[in-house]
Amino acid sequence: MLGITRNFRRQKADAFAMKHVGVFSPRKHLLDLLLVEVIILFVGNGCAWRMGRSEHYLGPTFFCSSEQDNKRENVVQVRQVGVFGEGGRQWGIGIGVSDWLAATPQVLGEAEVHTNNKEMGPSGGTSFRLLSPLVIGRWNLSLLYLRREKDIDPSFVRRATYGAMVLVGREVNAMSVGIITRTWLWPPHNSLAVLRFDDRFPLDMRFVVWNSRSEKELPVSEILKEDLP
Amino acid sequence: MKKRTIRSLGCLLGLSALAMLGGCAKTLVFATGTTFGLDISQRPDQTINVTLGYDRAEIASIPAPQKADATKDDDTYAVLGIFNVHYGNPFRGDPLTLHQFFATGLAAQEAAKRPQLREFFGKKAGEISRQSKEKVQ
Repeated sequence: MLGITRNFRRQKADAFAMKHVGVFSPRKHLLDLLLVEVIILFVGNGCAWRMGRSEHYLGPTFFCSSEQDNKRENVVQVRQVGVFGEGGRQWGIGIGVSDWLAATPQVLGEAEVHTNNKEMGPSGGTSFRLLSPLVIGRWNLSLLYLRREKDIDPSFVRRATYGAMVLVGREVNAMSVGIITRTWLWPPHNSLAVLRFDDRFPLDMRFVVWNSRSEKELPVSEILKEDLP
Repeated sequence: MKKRTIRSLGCLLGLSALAMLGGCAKTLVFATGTTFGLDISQRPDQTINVTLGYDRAEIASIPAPQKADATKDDDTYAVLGIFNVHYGNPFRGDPLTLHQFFATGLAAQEAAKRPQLREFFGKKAGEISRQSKEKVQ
């Protein structure tokens, strides 16, 4: 008798809950839950925005750059781990480890060089703004926000992905799973470009450009200083 | 629910395919790629490429406009270059090294006049020829 009463009370309570509270169906809200999870993961992981003269990085980002010197090439390396996304010039989303390296060349001569329809002046300098001090030539970890300003678009890009990634944009349109390494070099037209790159020492890369419209003569000895005895 | 999910997936795949069909770059570009896994990609000025397993590729794309003869101020066709890529075993930590010397247009004409650069290119051409013969043997 007592058991029947308890069952009756439970059924009554369930009916009340069904009527006034409603039932949460995981299947019905699967897409919403996935969306929320993606947003949480995005905020908790790295997100990059590269457009125009500014680059913005949200979330944990490993960052390394060469010395900001107008007289030599500028190299920047950005590494993001976990779920990461990027937007702007190139759009993408991925999971795993993403390693992005970009370099602007040392321009020999004074005149402007035209690279991919964008003007490149003698200065290839970049500037950085961080919440914490930045150490040049070493890896830095930015946990919240990192901003990088640059004068010109990079002419050399190396992108390595360990995991899965979908990319759409100027560099490549791709869907990849595994270990994928890509490099791009966009040498300016009517120019001479020399590139020496070793991915063990990316910051020591040599990347020089001389333009035929330059006021300076072609500095052959400077260009060949590592190739000829 | 199932229909909606299938439709969403269909839209996503359709958008991805559209994205891969677009975006062919009309700029001078050198690209290298190493894949270990699955890669569906479209490189500049190329058709869609699907790779499963291990693959590597080097691409040079030098677009030339139609009816554009060399003038005093511009020369699309003059090219002088060396493109040397070395891949190692990625699981042993072997490096990727690139050595590129590339001149286009009027800069290529100017470079071809210089004796030091002629010597340099002659030397490199000799090295390449010797390496090719060694590989054949």
